[in-house]
Amino acid sequence: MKRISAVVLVAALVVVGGALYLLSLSTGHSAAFGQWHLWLIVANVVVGLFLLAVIALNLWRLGRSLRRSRTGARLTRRLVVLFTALSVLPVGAVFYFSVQFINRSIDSWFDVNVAHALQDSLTLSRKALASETGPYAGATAQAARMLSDRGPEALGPALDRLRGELGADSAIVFDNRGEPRARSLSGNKVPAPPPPTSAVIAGLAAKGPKVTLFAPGSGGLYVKVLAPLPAHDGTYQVLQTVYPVNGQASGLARRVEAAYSKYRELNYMRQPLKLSFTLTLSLVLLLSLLAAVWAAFFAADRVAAPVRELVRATRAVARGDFDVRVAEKSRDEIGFLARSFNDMTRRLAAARIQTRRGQAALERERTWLATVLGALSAGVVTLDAGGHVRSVNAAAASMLGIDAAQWVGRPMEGLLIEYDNLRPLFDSARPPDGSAYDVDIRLPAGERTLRAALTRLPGGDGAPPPGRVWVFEDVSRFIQAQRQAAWGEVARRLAHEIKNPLTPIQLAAERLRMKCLPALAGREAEVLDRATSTVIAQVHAMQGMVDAFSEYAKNPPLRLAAVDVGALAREVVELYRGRHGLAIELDVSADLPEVTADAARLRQVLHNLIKNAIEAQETRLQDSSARVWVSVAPSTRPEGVALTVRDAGAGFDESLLANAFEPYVTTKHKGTGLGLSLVRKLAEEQGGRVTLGNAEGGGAEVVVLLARRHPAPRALEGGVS
Amino acid sequence: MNEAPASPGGRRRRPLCAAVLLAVAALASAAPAAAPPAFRVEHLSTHRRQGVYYLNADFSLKLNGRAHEALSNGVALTFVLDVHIVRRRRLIWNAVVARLRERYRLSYRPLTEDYRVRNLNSGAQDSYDSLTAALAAVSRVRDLPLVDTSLLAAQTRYFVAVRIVLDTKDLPGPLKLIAAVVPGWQLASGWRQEALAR
Repeated sequence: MKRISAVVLVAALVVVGGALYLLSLSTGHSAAFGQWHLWLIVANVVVGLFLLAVIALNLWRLGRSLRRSRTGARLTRRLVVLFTALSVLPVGAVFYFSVQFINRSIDSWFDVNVAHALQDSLTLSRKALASETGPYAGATAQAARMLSDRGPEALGPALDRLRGELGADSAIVFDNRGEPRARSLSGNKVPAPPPPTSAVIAGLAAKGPKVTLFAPGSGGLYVKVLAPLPAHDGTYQVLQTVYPVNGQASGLARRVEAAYSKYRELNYMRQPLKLSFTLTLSLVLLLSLLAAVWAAFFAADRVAAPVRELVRATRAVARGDFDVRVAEKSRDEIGFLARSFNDMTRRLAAARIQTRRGQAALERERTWLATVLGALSAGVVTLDAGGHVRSVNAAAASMLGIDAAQWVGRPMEGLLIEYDNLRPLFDSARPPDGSAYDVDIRLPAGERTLRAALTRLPGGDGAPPPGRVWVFEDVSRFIQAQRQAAWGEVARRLAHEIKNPLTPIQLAAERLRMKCLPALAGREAEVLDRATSTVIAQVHAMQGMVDAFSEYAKNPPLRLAAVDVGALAREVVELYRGRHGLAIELDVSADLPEVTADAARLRQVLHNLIKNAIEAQETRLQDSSARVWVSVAPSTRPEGVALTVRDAGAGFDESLLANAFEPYVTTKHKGTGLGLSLVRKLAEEQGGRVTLGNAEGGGAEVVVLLARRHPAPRALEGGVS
Repeated sequence: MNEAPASPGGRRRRPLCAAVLLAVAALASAAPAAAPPAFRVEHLSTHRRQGVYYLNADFSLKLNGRAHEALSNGVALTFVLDVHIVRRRRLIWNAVVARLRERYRLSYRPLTEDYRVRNLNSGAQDSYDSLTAALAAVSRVRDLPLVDTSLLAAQTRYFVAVRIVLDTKDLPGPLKLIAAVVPGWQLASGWRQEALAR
């Protein structure tokens, strides 16, 4: 399209140029192209109108583009104005000076003196010819008089004779209406002048003979003499004689006449010539300007097009489209710009792909890290440089009983006001040297011992003071195990040390009673009986206690297997049914997962808990209001089964809750205080957990949580979101 | 005022269009008014003699100031006598069966102070003492042979159409441009038609 319009433009300019050249040729006084003059002007005007229409169209388009704020419209306008101004000023100046120059040149052709000289030479020629032809008038008048008395018959021969005497080329007698009556011609070929009109004939009678020059065609000059010829019948007639003028004089006079005529004509043509030149020049100016304006539009469009494309492409890049490319057509700076632009977008696209890859890798890394942290059994809490919580992993949230989402982003100091119990763990005064420390804190799950380490996070280059990371583990179980081991040892020794003397004591007391009681009577016998009975009863009690201790210290091998907790619970509860004063209820959920446990230990746990529950409501047994509820239900944290035993007793004393699991802690009148600690020991040995609490409706509630047999494997590898 | 609703653009353009139309109309009406009929066909007749049609015509030729001035300054004026033999047709335009164009050149000669009329077709020329006599010679056409009767259909009616025109194309270059643009140079009689005598 561009190429076609360029061809049209060049063709139009060539046509205009050619037409103007021909016009300039024909504007001169030459006959060449004279007949085409008007058509050339018409052609130029048509081309001019065409150009005008094209320019108007372009202007309209430009105006529309400006109104719609199209890309490159303002640049095009500026270029058009610039090009137009650049062409108008010099062309206008050339036009002005050309018109001035032409007008002055044309004026300089003409000179008053030359005009006068030519006029004078013409007059001189006439006079010269008149003096040469003067005698012809008198001779002809005389001949006319001599013919006046001739009758019509004698007129012809007389005319011949007279013409011969006069030396005329022709002699004709006309009547007063201009009709020839007689004629006499010489051998020379003489053009006949038109016959005299009656007015001329009438004038002759009054003024006498009339001498005129005439020039038939381009040949020599002739003298025509008209003389009145009074006829004998009283009417006037005319004698016309024609003489050739001397050849040289005739030639000279004709040249003078030609020069004079030419000068007169030129002088007369001065204004039309000026006007014509001015008109032609104006046309040239107009067409040049129109062509220049069109060329300006064309050039501006060509200059602005790549810029427009670049702007469009730049906007596309700003929108994020890096696949946009501009055409690299030209080899100039614009082309270089286009190539650079394309290079830039290519690089940007490559950089974006790289960035995306990096982001994806980072994302994978982060996911991997999150997965690792989530899978860690240790709690991890990180703080940024500003003291705000950056991350809390699942183990930490579960261990501390907090919502990780609520913690992240908040300042640790503010959180510690809310969670005052955690202050010993997140003690800001502790040096972040990675050394381990143990803290005992109260958590919803009870008093716990955490072993924590605080480390400074590595900072980046020039980064602000780095953050900190706490890694902590619940070492309660470990410590518990240690304690249990210690208690077990104590119990074993106690049992051993106490059990040995108990049997001799009992035997001795029984012997004493057996031997001495029959020998005594009265008050002594009563004292002995009471004393030995007390000794024996206390020994029994101590033996029971020693048995309990040895039971506690006993540690048979653990036999883990899949256990149906519901069936096990039904078995155990069935043993307690029908006991006087007690109502025991069992609730087993339908969809229980299988758990891995030691069935014997679990049975022992349940027995202990039910026994504990019954013992806690001894007074109620009398009025048959003792209640025990046992439920087996699926649990979510940890996934598995929750075995709950609740009673209708007084519940745990709040002060005891913290260390209810410790041996020898009891509120009952009789009891070793080993029940709950044994429960805990047994549960923990098979991977379970025990929590204590008071039910909402009153009464103690003990929950044993057992993990399901095959916990869902947790993905530890990176790259999986 | 009962004005049809128009867009603002249309309303703005309407006076401009009206002005252009007015200007064109003024120019069109001014051109004929500026040039009174200086050339006229006064008389037109045909006669047949020995199988040939001849034309007799008389014109009234009055040169205006411009033409007169040009002539006296040495510019030759060319008169063109156009003669058409026309066959009238129904419904469509007439058919021109023959055309004849006689050209006369009138010039002033300063040496002899006379006017020369030259028939450019035949080359015949005559000198006249006065412009009146020269114009009278041009305006009087006698026995101009038109067409042979054998060339015309027998039962058809023909017309002869005549006009006389000052030929501006024969003027010198610059003057021709002026004559094409300036009113007053377009000297022409209208066409006059007469039935061809049978």
